Amino acid sequence: MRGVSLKILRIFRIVFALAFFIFISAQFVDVYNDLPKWYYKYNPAWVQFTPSFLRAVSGGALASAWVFISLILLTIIFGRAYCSFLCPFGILSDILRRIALLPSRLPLVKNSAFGKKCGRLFGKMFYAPARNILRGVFLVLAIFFVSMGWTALLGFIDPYSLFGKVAGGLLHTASGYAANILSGIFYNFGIYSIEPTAGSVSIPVIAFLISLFILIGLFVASALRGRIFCNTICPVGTFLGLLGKVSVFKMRIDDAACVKCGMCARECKAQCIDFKNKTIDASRCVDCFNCASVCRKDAIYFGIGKFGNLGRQKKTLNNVGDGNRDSVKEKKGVPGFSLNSGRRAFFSRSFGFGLSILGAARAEAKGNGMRRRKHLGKNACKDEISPFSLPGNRPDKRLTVPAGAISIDNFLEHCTGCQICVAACKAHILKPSIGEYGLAGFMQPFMDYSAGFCLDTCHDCSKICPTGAIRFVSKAEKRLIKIGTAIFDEDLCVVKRDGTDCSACGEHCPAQAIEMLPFGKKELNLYIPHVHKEVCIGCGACEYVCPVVPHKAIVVRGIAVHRPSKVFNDNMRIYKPELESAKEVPEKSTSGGDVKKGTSSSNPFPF
Amino acid sequence: MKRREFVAKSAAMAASVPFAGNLFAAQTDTSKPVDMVALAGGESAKAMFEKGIAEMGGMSRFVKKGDSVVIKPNIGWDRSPDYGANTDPQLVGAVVKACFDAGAKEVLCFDHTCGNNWAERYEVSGIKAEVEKAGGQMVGGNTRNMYVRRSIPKGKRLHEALVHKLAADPDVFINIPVLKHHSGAKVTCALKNYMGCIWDRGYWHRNDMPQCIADYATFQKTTLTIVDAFRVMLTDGPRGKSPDHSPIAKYQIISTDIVAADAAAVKIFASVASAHNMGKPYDVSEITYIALAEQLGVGTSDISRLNVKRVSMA
Repeated sequence: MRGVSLKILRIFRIVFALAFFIFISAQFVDVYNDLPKWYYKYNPAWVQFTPSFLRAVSGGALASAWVFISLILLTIIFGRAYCSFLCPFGILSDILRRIALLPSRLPLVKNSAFGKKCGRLFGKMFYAPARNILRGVFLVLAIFFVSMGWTALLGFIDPYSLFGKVAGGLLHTASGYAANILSGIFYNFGIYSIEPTAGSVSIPVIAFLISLFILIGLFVASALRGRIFCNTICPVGTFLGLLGKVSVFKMRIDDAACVKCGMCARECKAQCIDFKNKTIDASRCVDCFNCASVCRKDAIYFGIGKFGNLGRQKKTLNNVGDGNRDSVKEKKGVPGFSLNSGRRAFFSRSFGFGLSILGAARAEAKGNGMRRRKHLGKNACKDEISPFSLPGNRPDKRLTVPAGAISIDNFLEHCTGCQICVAACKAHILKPSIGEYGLAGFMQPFMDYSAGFCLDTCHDCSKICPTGAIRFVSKAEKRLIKIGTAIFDEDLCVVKRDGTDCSACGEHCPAQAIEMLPFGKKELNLYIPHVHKEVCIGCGACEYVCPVVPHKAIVVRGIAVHRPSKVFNDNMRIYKPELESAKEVPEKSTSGGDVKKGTSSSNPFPF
Repeated sequence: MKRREFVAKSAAMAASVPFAGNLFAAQTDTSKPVDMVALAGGESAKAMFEKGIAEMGGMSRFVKKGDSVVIKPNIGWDRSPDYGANTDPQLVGAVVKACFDAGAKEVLCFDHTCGNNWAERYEVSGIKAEVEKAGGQMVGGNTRNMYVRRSIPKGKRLHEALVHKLAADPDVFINIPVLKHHSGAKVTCALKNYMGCIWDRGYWHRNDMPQCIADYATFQKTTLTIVDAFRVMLTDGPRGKSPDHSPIAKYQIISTDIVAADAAAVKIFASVASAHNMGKPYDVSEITYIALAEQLGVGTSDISRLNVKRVSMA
């Protein structure tokens, strides 16, 4: 009975995990940005552990921590179910393992030399002792990164962010290129049903290679050692493992029923079943239920320790985490606690240390201003200028971060580089950075105004961002958030340089921050842009459309801390064409009384 | 004053402002085909088009059976129809329907929108829904692979351009611009609407835009130009700040001569601007690309040389 119910649980796990994986991948595949509204309401990225942790520590209210608290409670009750059910990187690892095993299972290939070799290489899992020192090091490293505000680096060990890098770098670009190439081919035949994407989905080659490297690395690791990433590097896995050791429900071996056949250990991708000693390392078990579904003796069950052990002669050691090397020694002492006490103390100490650093870092950020602002140049206006410039551009062009990010520092200290906003960006201007934010900001997205401009009708990055790097802002709010200021250089503008019409910037400005003023001799009829700096929101539309090469005549200079912009009103106008036209038009009555209603005798046509 | 009231009054004013040297008295020559139909006072842009195209001799005069028709409305901006920033969607729908009624094999509609989110603009403008309802098809214009290189032999500044595949060699090409203010070109209408047919607008902007507009017009085959001036955006163009700046003027021009259509449109713009005391009543001579296009032999800005039929629907 027990075995049957766990088989069902395993199937449920597979179906749920696959559905969740597809659900979270949808944002990366959706190159047309056509996801329904409810997708963002049930945003799958929000239930991810690290993002929810980052939201929880900086959200300011308990409400922002409810996902984090729920995940902790889930783990305390059920062990590391998160790793099998909700972690996209863990699910990806399982999928890759299945792909590696495919040749040894497909009917046609199964008996070929290749199929047999795959089966031999990847087919059997085996018990391996926990690498607790490495696990501890990575957990401490993760805490260190968070406390230093180096979340971009955290993004290289955090499983969700790694998944995002793979999905963003490969899935999103591949989907986009497929759509564009297919539409190009079909368009040649007069079929217009496949649309190209609304912008370029291309990302820097280095970002693409990193994604590829992560995927290949995970593939090799999963094929050879199953969940080795989750049980060695992943700080989330290690942290949840600490909770998993004391969880209410966990996988246990029925001492009496077990015949030490080892079938379970062969199926255990977490390599955590020491069948010889009849123990399961709960700190590494990811609740996949594979072991129980292969056990022919129904000796493995998922249960509450106290009740599960009722009626048994010998108390089973469920909490042993350190493998069979020390199992003999361990059995002598307090079950499951002897060797762990020291390690646990180490963890709790380091965690407390990390939290204290974290608190200090936040206090410093609030009190003394932002650390990254130190090397700023002189300010032209009252805003502190973004410290990040783009090589190959005008020096007064500075990087911006999307509205909702609050400040450049808030963005950089929360973004783990999961690339989900890159995938969600309707304008396709969010691109993973390579050196733009420096090494500590590697792969955190930046706004690339050479690829487009931030649309005033879109706030998708603020809807999808799970970490609190970009907080939710409504479309209306977003239109009034100043993220930068357009800086116009008259000497570069074609109107002055060539004496020809342009006004591309003026026509694209969504905030009406650019006013076209008469320029030069009146008979030339030329107009040159003027930027109302307080009205400008820094969306980059002017910069994108400015036709001047190689350096744009108008560029956006990001500001360090976002603030509200002013709404344009007619009193701000420097040039008032109405006055000019009033001189030319004799009749300017606005009351309808003295105007004759259109009669058949009057000509409605002015030509 | 409520907006609706304001609009109604201003329309009445627009209709009553007399202009010196008008040619309303000139009778249409019934023996020759009509070159241009000017309409005023219709209930909707769609109704005006249906009346106007009948006066032109029906759509079958331009669209033959089995023709592939390409229409190029202005879908540049993410603005709803009441801004008058894009062509009236129902007018576009009516054109598509008229083409099919005349026996068109397919009707394709595209624009190289301003900004990357073209799919959204197709939708927000309402044009996608109307075109598809009438059986036409929307085609994207914001990816490089949609454009082919064409030389422009008559061009002065523009010698070659990346032209949208649909615009490069169409059976029938119908230009459906909207008349509105433009911060750079002052007034934008038919000739400037062609900036949505090419890929690299930046090149035009930095190489004497009016000349490039005129140069391109020598290349682009134009069967018919339908100017939508039902709403005329008078200030803050081409994107528009508020629907209040786009009063209902109830004009439309259907013309075989694109330059004449622009010249007439500018006059309409000036008349509406004066009537509403909003914006600037530009003279045709101020809109440089019209004269430049005329010099290149694209058409004539002298409307009196055309066989014009004026229809008042008020």
